[in-house]
Amino acid sequence: MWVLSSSIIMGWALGGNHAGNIFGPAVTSNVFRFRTAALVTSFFIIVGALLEGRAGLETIGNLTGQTDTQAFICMFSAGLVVVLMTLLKLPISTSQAVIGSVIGAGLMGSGVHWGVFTKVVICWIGTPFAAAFSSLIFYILFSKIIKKINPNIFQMDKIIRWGLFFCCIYGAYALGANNVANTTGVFVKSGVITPFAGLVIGSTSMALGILTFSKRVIKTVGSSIVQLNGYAALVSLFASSFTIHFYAALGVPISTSQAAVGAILGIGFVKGLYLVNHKTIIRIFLAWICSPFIAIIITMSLLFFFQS
Amino acid sequence: MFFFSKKKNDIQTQVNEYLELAQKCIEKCVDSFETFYINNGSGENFFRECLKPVHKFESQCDDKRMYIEYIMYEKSLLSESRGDILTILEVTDRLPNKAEMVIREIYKSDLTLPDEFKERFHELFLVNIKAAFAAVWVVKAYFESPKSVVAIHEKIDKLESQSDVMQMHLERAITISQIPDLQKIFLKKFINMIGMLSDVSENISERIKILSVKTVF
Repeated sequence: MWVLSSSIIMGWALGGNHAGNIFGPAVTSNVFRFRTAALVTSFFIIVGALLEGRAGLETIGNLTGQTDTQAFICMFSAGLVVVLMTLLKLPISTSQAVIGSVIGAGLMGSGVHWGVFTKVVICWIGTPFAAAFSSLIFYILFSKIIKKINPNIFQMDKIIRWGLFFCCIYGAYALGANNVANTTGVFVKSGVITPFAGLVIGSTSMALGILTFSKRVIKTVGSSIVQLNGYAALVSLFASSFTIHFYAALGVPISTSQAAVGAILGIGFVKGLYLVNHKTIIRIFLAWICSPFIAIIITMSLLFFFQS
Repeated sequence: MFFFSKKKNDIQTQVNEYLELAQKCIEKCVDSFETFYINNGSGENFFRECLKPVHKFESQCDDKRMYIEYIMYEKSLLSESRGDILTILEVTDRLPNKAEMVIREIYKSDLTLPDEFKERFHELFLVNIKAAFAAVWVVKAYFESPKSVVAIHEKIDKLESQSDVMQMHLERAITISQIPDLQKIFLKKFINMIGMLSDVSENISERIKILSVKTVF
């Protein structure tokens, strides 16, 4: 069971780093205090993972066949990529690091199911576009509804606060459903643990990451998104949560950061503004390219070392 | 979790109370001006009967505004909403201030209106007071139904333009009149002070209009 330690560490890092995308704005807008937000998010991450996380486990498992040692090396490599990229101050996508590692292991071992991999890559490419499109649609739709209600400033404030509250829950649910496979997917396939145990261990370790590691990240991410304005932040959060949930239903783990940036771009499009600077786009693109490739190389190197 | 607190309702109530005070301050200003207009002078009791009540409401407006600012910083609203409300209060608070200044000027300068201009001063004052009441109305509308703001804004805009024209003609008439130069200076200063009521009303209305567009997109 010691091999699961890499999985728990990955879940912990994932929860700590990505929760900011989900409930940062609610915390920085004072809708929630950090502790409340962390507890609510942790709870709904576990709920999301248990109810809808199974499809992602299957996708990760179907990419390639693995032994428990290979599974451990996969998670270890993915973790190493996350640490390495963080130390180099390069952006990182956990989903892409994990899947890159799995591909690396597949290339060194029992082969890769390219059909599944193609589906995953298509979803990765589609993530920012889907998020942008959904935020554009939701922005227009919600604006029409709100115009009909004609709320005053106090009512609008309430709508945004309740909306952020709802998005916090929905986003946590979607994150749990989508990303739990990143933490334990390889161990479920290799038979080290059952799917249910995989969901429980994965989601609990993510929850642990949120409770112990996410405070600083939340402040940063939350502030940068909330600066949009309350309504735009709400729509972008809902759209990114919706996108993450959509891909969870398809069983493909995606990058929450890419979904968030896509959603903000969508709002910029509808408002005729360019809300994300070039640097952010380049960083996201770098993450997209670097994460899986570095993961593949590290995994293959480690497996080569251990096997020889 | 303060998300469910009643602070927001408190703020809304406090803002409504503030607007009532501002309205009362303007009403007192009208009463005081009418007293001045009828007596054509400030007289002995003017300070106690006219200036003091206006000052009382102006001062209460200040206190109320400070209190609202204080409770708003107890994190009960989104920072964005808080900023908008603070802006509105800040700009609206200039209205009771200007109303008091008009009455204060009557007392300080011991003004009397020459008979040939008396009626025109009265008309100018009424136009400006209409704009001031409309300004309070536009703020109330913003806090209740932002869509109705635009129509009120147009009304204020017209009143302000009307006041500008009246001010200009009245100042010219005073300049070419035969009254003493010192009195001319005081009267022109007084005209400008009255005119400030509609200027400030228009500022309030402009700001409210922009914020209402933001609320309803």
